[in-house]
Amino acid sequence: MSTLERRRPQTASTDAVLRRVDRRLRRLDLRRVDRLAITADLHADLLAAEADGRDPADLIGPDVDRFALRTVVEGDYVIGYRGPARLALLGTLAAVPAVVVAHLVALGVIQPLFTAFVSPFLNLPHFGDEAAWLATGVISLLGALPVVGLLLHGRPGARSTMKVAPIALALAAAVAVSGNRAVLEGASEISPLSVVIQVLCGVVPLAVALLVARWWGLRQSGETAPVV
Amino acid sequence: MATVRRMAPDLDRRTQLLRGALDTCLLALLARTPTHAYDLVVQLEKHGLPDISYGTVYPLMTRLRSQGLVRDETRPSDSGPPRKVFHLTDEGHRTLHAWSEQWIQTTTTITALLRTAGAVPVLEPEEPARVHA
Repeated sequence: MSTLERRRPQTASTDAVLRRVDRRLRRLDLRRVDRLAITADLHADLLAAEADGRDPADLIGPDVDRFALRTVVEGDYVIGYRGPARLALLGTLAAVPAVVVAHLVALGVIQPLFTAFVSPFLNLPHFGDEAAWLATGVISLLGALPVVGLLLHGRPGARSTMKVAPIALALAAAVAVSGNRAVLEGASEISPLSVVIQVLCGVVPLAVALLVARWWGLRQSGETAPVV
Repeated sequence: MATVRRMAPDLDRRTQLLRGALDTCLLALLARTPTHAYDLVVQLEKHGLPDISYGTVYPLMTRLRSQGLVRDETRPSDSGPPRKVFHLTDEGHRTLHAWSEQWIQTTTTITALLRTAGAVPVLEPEEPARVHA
């Protein structure tokens, strides 16, 4: 076996280890410059270890996540520096389909069902509309929460954030529904301006709720310290 | 009812004992020769500490750097990408001196205690050197 053939699997291992560490550092929301500095250090050291005939994976140890977290915490790097803004932006973008689906389900399925079967029985002529608004809010909330959980997976303070996110998002949904109802009732006809206001009534409370939840989660979290 | 506790494995216990002194060891090695993190691991092995992994040393180096005890300097390498070489700062030298003193005092005290308690044998005093006429 040639020297190159013998080295090839180890180089692959170096790359794999670096990728895993880099992925973990990304999830910790490290500043790019810090992340690149750490991976550059590692790259040089892993290559040196490889040249000594060692397996780079053995050098770091089996728990790459722990290594990355210890490095970041011991080095006093800033964790989650863009956490709230990132969650607010991605969470809001990801929630848009949830709101659209919720709206379609509410108007296309729930409102007709309630209008046909429940409203006459309870003698509440507008119960279908109320149910449709409620369903829009609830379905949006139920659709947004898993997305938020996915965005937070493996990140510092995820658990604390997810504790407060349902409350914050429920409040945001209530504000969004109330705002939209007020706009529709107040406007004489649907115009581009009223549509913009309606969208803002949904997006702004959602973004604020996510910002608050993430800020609170990071503040409350003790998960940034490594479990040694 | 008496609680029976399992004894920690020897390796874990040794790791715990070393944990408190490892930063002093790293500063001492760097005081002698500025070098990079991987080489520190190799030197620790040569000094009889093979249990200390790179996964332990590198995070510790980032802490020593954030504490201002070491600084790094990137140097070109013949065998690969540029290497980050760690040097002791003036504060690092002072800290190494203080930590070394602490270590000697602590181990001396504990060794004396163990000898007094009979846990380790008491060393026989050396005979005075004979003066030959």
